[in-house]
Amino acid sequence: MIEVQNLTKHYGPLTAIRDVSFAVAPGEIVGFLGPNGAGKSTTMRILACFMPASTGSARVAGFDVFRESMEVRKRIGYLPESVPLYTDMRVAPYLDFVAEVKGVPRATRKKRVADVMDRCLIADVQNRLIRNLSKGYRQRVGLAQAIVSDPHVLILDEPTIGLDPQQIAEIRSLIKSLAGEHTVILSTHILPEVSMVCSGVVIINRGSIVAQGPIDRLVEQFFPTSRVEVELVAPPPAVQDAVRGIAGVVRVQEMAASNGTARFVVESARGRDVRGEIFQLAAAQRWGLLELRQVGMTLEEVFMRIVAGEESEAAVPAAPAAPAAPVETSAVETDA
Amino acid sequence: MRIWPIYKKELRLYFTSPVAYVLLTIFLLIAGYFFYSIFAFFTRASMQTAMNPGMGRDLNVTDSVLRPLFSNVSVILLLLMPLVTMRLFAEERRAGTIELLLTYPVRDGAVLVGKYLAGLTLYGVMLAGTLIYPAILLYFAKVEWGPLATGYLGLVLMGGMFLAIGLFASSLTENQIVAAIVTFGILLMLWVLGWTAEFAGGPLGTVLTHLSILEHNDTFAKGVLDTKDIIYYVDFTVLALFLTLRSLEARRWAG
Amino acid sequence: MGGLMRRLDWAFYPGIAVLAAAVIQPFVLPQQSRLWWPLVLVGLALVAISLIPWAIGARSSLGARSVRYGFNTLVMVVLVLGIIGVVEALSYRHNARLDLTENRRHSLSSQTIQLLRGLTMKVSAVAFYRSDQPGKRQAEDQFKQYARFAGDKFTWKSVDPDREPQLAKAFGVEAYGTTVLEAKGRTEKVLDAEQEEKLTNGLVKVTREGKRVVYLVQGHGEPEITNTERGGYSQAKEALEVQVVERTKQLTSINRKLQDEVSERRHSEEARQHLLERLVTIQADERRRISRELHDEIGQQVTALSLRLAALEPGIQDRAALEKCLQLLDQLGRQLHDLAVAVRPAGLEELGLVLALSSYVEDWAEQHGVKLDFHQRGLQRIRLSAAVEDAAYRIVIEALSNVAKHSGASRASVLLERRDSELRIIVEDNGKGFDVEGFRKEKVADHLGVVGMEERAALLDGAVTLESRPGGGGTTLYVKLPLAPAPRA
Repeated sequence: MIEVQNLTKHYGPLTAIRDVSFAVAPGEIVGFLGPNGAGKSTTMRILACFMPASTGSARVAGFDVFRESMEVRKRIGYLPESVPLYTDMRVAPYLDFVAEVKGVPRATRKKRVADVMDRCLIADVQNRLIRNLSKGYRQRVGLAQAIVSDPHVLILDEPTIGLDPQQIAEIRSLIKSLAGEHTVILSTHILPEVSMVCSGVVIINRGSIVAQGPIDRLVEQFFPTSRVEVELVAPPPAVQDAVRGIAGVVRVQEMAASNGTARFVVESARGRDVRGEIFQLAAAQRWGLLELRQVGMTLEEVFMRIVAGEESEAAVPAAPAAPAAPVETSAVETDA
Repeated sequence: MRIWPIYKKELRLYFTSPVAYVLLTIFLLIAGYFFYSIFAFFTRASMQTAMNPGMGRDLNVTDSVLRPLFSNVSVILLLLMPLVTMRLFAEERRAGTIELLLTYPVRDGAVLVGKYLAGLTLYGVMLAGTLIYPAILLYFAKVEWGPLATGYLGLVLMGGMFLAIGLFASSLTENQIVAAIVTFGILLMLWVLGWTAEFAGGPLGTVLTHLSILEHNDTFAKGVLDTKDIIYYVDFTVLALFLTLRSLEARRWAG
Repeated sequence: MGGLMRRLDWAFYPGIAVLAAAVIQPFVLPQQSRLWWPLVLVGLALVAISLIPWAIGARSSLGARSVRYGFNTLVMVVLVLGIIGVVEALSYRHNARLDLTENRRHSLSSQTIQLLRGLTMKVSAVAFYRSDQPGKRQAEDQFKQYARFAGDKFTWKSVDPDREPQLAKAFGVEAYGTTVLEAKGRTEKVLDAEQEEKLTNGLVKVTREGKRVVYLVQGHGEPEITNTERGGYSQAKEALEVQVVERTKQLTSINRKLQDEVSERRHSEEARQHLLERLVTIQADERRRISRELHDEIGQQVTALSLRLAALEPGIQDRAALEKCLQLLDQLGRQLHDLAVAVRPAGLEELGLVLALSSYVEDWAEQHGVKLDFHQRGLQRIRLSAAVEDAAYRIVIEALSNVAKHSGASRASVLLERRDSELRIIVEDNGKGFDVEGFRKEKVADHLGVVGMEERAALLDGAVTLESRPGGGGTTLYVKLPLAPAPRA
């Protein structure tokens, strides 16, 4: 549904994106990730036919965005990051305007607008001035205008930015419900929701694609080991030696030690579940086993690793962050 | 070409904000004052003529009331038209709504025409408000229909040109004030070009005179329909609209 | 290289400054018109240089696509500008005009157009109009139209005689509104050139070729003009004569057609004038009637009342009251009289300004005990226009009223003088005078009617001047009223 080939865009001496290529299959929801300034918005704008690329091509819904832009525009719904709406209009007339401009026939227009308002949960404010709506409502109006014409492809730039957790959950479920009938590409830098909503991701950093594909495959790609966290009542050095001895264990890292208890992260080859062996080991050694659990790699960690440019294995694995916290990406600046 | 929804939206935005009403009020107030003073002067001159017939040589409603009225209204428009058009593109850019507008399946040309027609409609309402003056005149004196019709035609054409230029200026910036100032600057330049023409002699002087607005709008007020004046206004309107289209396209490239 | 590039950037500002200078130059230093083209070229060059670093920098980062589009757009814009320019130029050369005024007053008659199209020599017109003169704009409109039909054979310009009096003198121009037409060394002065017939007539006169005289030598056997034999020139003579007759016939018919059309217009003009005059007459009649009623009928009633009261006198005890009544009546009678006079100055219409005034001032002098000298010059048995006489009369009356009320003078004089097609009036007194400057600033109840006097004078394009020295220096009032060309006898 979306095919991007070697897309490049220069703003004067600045290059915003370079040789970007990726593809989105019909019905997929793809997350477009990257730190601020990576080039997400630029790419989306090109896909939405707002501006032309300097070189390269992109096809959306089977049409070239540069040469057949009117055909593309008939089949997309776009929501820019700033959610720009006509604040002096009321919600229902505004959606009616968008529907008309997008070619929804007059006979079905009223019903479509009503449907969309219901679906986006804005039917109760349909007669309010957009200027008087809260951010959450405005976002939903923005989403409504994107889907009012039932487009093949949805291009959403940071659709949940600035919303409170409940609103985010609502939007998320709405987007999820769109899967299958629509193809969605949404950009964000809130990683946890990508895992919840998207089937695949495209990661962009400093204008170039650094990774793309289904999430689990990426996780595998960047974190080729399984991880287990164990807390024992035992002297740390002994644990280290013993655990290292278990077949398939790649690394044992001490996390914390106090009052005779020690916490470790044990990495083993992918697929090799060493929990059983550790249990046995602890039992054999008469070490108190306080905690033993498998730790999944989050997309966030993948992302951080990619973006920070670290390929080395020695990095202290970060604790899984709480779902709602956005990722601050100051690491980009320090990179060469 | 989906001009109609753009037109409706723009018109709605004009009339649901105070902009249109304030402009209308101010315009009609000033124009009304001008009409009153010109008419009062004419009445006094008529009375003096009754006592002194020699003064009444050139006194008639068309040359002494309508012609100066149209001329004064032109000046008011020179000042107010920039305010009508300044928001058309500049506001969209400032608010970011242009990003949505230009990604809808509607051609840049249709957007342009829709906004232009909305401005023209507002202008039409302004002019319609002035129809009360000839109506008042009709009650008191015999009005020549020819010059009245051509006078209004001249105003319509001139307003159309002002609107097009204003639209162009609005498309160049996201700051409404700058757009208004640029429009006013261009209109003033064209207005005044005739004066400099007197100094620069020869062919350059002739060219400059031909470009000046002053040179053209008086013939309409006099009651004379001249193709060169009609073409002048249409020419510049077309040029300004064309340039606006190019400016829209160019701004797409720059993002 | 980067340093040089940056410095080139700065060329932008001087470039703009030079271009601005080129724009201003025609105003500030019109004589140096030779500078104009070099200024423009240098300015453009500087601006172009300043754009080089941008262009070079841009090229490396612009893709081929955007360069191509930029180029396309530029070409399109230039093309459109070119088309517009051509359309404009064409529309000027070949334009159609429709005059929708009822009497087609903004268009030239076909005769004039024919004359202009057929002009074979260059004619120049220099118009001397005062800058606020009403006919100026129309004359200029007319010149423009003439120039349109005559191509470059008719050139014109407008000169303000107040700003360039030497030029006016050089052309021998004496009155405002004169236009001087010049062709092949001949000049013709036209007054009121805004009237089409006058201007065209002037044109005809100034372009009329003189009579050509053909001389034939005789007496030594040359062929003779009147000789009808084979070697004679009589046929040539006849042919020439026939030509002359035909030409004259042509001119006469053109002239006649012109006159017809013009007289038609004049008729409607005259009809309007006629109506205005009738209006004035009606007004005068009205006033006469009012005056008569006031004076004769009402005044008579007052007199009758007064007599009756007097007759009652013997039978009335309260003499004081009776005296008072009689006094009031007396006042009333006098006021009526004044009113009647104000509405229609006694004898002004029948006797004329001089006689009416002289009788009035006699009465006035006696009434107020002021020695009054009254002189007139140049008004012997001559009547001026009703408007001027009326205005002059009222101004003098007002002035004298002020003298009586405020000056405390013992002597006064009134002088009327007709000179140089204007009427001059001087009213002088030896009273206590007043401060003219300070006086105007205060709003002293209508400034003693001075405003009224000024307005009356202004209506006729005249002027009123007051001079006075406080502290016994006396006061003088000067009035100037322009007169219409021919006074009626």
